[in-house]
Amino acid sequence: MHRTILLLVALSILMVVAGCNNQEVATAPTSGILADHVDLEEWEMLTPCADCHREETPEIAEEWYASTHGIANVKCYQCHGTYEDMELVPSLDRCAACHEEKIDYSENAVVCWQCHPSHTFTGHK
Amino acid sequence: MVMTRRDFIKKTAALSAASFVGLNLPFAKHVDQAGATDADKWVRGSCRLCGLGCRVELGLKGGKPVAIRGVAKSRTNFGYLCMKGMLFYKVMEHPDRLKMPLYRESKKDAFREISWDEALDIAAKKFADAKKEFGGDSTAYYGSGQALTEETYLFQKVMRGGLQTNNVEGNPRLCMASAVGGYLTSFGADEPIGGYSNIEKSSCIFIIGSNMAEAHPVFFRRVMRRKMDNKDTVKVINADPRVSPTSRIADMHMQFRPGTDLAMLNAMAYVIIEEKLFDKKFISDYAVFKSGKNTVDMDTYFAELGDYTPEKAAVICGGNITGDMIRKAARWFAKSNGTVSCWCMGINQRKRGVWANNLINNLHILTGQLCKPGADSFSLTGQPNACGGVREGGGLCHILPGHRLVKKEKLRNQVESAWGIPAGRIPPKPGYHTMAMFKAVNEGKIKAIWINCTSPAQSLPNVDLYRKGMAREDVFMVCTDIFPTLTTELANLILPTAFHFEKTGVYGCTERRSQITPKCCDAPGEAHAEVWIVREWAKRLARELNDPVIEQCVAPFDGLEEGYDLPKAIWDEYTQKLTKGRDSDLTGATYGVLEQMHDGVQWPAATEEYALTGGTVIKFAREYDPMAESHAKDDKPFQFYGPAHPDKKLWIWSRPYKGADEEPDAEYPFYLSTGRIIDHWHTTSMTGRIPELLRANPYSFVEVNPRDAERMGIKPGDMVELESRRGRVEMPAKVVEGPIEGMVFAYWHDMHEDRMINKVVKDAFDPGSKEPEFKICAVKVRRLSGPKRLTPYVV
Repeated sequence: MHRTILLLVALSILMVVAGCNNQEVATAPTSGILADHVDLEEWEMLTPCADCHREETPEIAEEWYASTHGIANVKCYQCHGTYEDMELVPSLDRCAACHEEKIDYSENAVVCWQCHPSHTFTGHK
Repeated sequence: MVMTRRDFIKKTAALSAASFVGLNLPFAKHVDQAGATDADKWVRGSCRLCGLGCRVELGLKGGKPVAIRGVAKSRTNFGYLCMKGMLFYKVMEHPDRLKMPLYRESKKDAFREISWDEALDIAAKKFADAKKEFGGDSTAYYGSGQALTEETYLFQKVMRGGLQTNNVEGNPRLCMASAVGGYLTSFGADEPIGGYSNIEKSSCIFIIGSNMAEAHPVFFRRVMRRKMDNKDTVKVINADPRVSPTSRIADMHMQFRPGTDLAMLNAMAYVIIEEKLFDKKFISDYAVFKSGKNTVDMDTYFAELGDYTPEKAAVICGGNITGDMIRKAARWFAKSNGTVSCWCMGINQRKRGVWANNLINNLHILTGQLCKPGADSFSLTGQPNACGGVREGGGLCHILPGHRLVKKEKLRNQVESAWGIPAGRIPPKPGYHTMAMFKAVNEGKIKAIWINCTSPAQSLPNVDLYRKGMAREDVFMVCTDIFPTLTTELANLILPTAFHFEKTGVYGCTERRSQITPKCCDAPGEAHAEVWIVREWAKRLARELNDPVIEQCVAPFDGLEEGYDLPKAIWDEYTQKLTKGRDSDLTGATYGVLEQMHDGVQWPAATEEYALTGGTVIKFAREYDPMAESHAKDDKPFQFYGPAHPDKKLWIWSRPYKGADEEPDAEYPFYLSTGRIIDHWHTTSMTGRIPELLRANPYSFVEVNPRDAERMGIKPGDMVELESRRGRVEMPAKVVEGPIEGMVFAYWHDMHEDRMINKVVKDAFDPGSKEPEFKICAVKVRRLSGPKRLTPYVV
């Protein structure tokens, strides 16, 4: 997970739709996880996460793309939420929307990514 | 935190922009941090969106929805949800929800809030006046595959039994009518023979005209899982003019020129016969060959396929397909232990949609890939209750509840008897089909129309033409909906309705499965369930017209509480009186049974005891279907008892290749096709109000093949104009190896005037099913500029 955090923190320049005026971007950070995310105008938030993260966090993007989540089109926001409720590390609540039985089955409140590698998920660590 | 000047400027700028675009700031206001762990109650129901019928549990905190999760024990989805399914509950508390009846005498006026009494009186008087002056056929109902079965059933009952018109239609005409035509003409009965569980037993999955990875993601997950777990033994073929996310799991992508799939499918049949891959006994026992009005033999049928050798078909199909590919696909299809074909709008929304359906069904009949686990000819459906409510409940102009044809007097009399109204009350002539209905609106022949839970002002093809009719001052238009839409903007009267989980009722999904969703929270403001609205309107209509028969249509439901007792009584009347003994028998699927099931009941299910097992997994097979046993005419294992084929046989059709109604030419040189993306649903009146979904795809794009883009100097993000003989739009380009060269593909959801692709699409329709050809027309493509900042738009 540390790598994920570092990569997200490193996301300092956000390329949005070409031709847009990036001079307007800088502003006070939102709270929580977004404090580590480059600040975005409202209209800039209309950019699919993967459009930037393919360049900014390519390893994660590739891991996801090759995973069953990637093939099945389970996109970033389905696990991580959007700007108002974003979680860098998704809560189990979000996983439970589809995987409740697996979570109930796991013992001692083990989280999914403790055994299944994040973004790949196939197999065990 | 103290707001800085910069913050202030930013916030006010955002407000201005939002005012300009009509958004009610779904981002800013939609901050509800309560989640699954906060839920104090979970209530089981169905997903509100596509036709799969995924079962969900809505999490409530203090009676308010806060979370959703899949139902692991449901056979429709085994707990999995797509993004839309996971988020749709967020619209329930949205501030844009309609809360009071709104009225304006003239469409030039502003709406004003009125009481329900006034609203229902107005609706009754306007429909009554139209009937008195111009007859019942001057009134119309246009409904939805999203309405509950109880709603569609009651609307059509009042229209037919009360106003004496068969002008009962709905948006399923736009998406699945060709599949209905295909099933009836090939198998003698509507709706698929099997269900989703065939995927887990199949060895070949033939996907044609379906981007299921985006349009039906939870079903695609099953297909993906089947392929990934059996990489060497399961073959997946994807046939589509566009390479889509669905193609990722395919062993072979057959990319053909739009509209030429009829030739390709005929060529597969040719190979099956030429190489003797057919099932001789299955054909001999259960099938006949048809050419036009004649019954022919296999030799004649094969001779008629002579124009479609794989090599000839490959030429017709346009370059990316070879004869060898067609041969390989036919062999995989015929030789597998079980083949499932899956299709959707790419086949149905076509000038020759019924024929295309027939040609897929042909392959299954020829090879005997039917009526056994792992084999089916399976049409996917786009809406949650197109099958249950509209196809089964009598929601189209030519059908009555229980798969009865309007034109048959005996069947009309059965319905009249069940309703306790005089014989002959239901007119014998089918009403206007959808495109004819809106043409009649344009011509002023329809004076009063009720539009329920759908937005034809955006979803019709060649939409500008039909918006003119809806805008006429002499056409009184009522809309029942939960949000403002482009259609409510043309209405005289807007009635706010309860949403899913704010009312009780049944949806029937793609695999003949009926599932209940109970009311568990209150609708906002003064919104009501549609069943209450129709009942109260009908009572006033009866008074206006001094007609006790109209009163009789709703008398069995008078005084019942709208949240549960009323829909239950309607469901009981429909299932117990009008499905008993029909091929869609739901007599055993009572509310009591449905409430016990994690998922629901697949018809036919004639008794509660049987319905509690889940019902009929495979129709027509005596091993699985009690009705096949009770209707048996011999000792064969399959009994095709469907009502449309008197000979109780499957029909293999000789259908020639016909292209699209409008092919590219020198002036309009590109094919245009339209379709869906995973983040949005239909007209975005719901998904456009969910921040995650809107942000993921805020506007429509047009996909351009890289070689075409290079020729035209189009780069990713450039603004591109698409112009047809009907209209023009402009939208940003995605340059991708998606559409075949010479074709562009646009997303259809966007309701912004500049990007609404249905202004461009042609309104030609299939002569049999009357379903429009959304999927193919001819356009000019022109680069307008570099990238431009765009604004999403939701009414």
